[in-house]
Amino acid sequence: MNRSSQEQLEHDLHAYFDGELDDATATQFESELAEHPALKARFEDLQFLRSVVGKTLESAGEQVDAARFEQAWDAFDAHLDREARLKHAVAEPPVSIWGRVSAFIKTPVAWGVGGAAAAAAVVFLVVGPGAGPSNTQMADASDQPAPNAKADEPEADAAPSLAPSPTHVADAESPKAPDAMTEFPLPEANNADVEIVDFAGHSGRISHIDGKHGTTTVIWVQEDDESVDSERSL
Amino acid sequence: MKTKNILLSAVAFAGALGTASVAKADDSAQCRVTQVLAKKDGDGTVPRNLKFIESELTSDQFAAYKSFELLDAKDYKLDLNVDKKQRMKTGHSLGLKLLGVTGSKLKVNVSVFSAKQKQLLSTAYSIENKGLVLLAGYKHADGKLIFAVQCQKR
Repeated sequence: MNRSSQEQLEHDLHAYFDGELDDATATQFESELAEHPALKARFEDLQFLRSVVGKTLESAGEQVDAARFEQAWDAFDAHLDREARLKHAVAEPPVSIWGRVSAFIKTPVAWGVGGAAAAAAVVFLVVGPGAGPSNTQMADASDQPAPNAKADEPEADAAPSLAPSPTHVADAESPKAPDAMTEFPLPEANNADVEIVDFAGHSGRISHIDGKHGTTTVIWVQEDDESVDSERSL
Repeated sequence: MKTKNILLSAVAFAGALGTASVAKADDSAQCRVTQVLAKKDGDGTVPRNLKFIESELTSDQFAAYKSFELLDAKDYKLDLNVDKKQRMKTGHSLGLKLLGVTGSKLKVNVSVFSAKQKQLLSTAYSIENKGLVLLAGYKHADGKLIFAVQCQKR
């Protein structure tokens, strides 16, 4: 068998194995197989390989968790749907604003909103504008300061009784209502001469603010060695 | 005559000392501790109830903090060398003790305790009457606490 006919046979063998030959050619090739044992052996080898590979793939497929398979399939399905929607979105012409309005009007929500607005209009026409607060009342109300959750004078809580210290300790201040707290003057001349400072194991520093009340001393404590946000660190 | 003058001077000097001692025993002060929570979020507005320290809160010292909230305030009536301690709403306690009054200056000892009553600070300072000191940097919630301590002679 010359080389070119061998190559042709090899080609036909693979085509026959893959089912790509027409009926007439396949019949002719089957007679070739019967006449050439070597060719038939090659064909059987291919069949064996197919069966082995097929079983291996089936076995591997059976090992995949069914849920994982479903999950992967769903993701793939969602991807296909997304691609399809994108294609349709591109294909469809953009909807005009009037189209959207007319589509909204047809929805039950629009009917509900419209009905409520119509009812309110009827009530307003029947009852008249006098039912609400007058303009002057509203203006007066707007002039009033908004209620503040915290009083101008801070509330004083009941202070707990204290354990005695080495020096004589008096009882804590009795609780006071906010209005009863004594007036306290505005701060003045705040520069303090710090004689002793103990940060109790924490980091700390003393700084000063030059402001309206002169120089105000600020004693900073740095808990847990965190960084301090201050003018020095800015 | 000379001896008499010396004796009179000595009596006058002793009298002056005694007067000073009596005055010291009567020294007392009134202090207010304002507890402020400073947070890093906000619009930087100082609320009306903290206007008295607005210039301090809006200074560079507190530039990192954009909102301030008055949490609590406590008044202290201090007698000489008498510890007073009060607990704030956050659980922190502040102890004040009047150490002395010299002219227009008050000498005060201030101690800060955590909510677990662990001492965080102890300091003694002299300050002019009605003067203000800020104690800052105490962690609370999502911000830092500032104690404004102001004292005046009583």
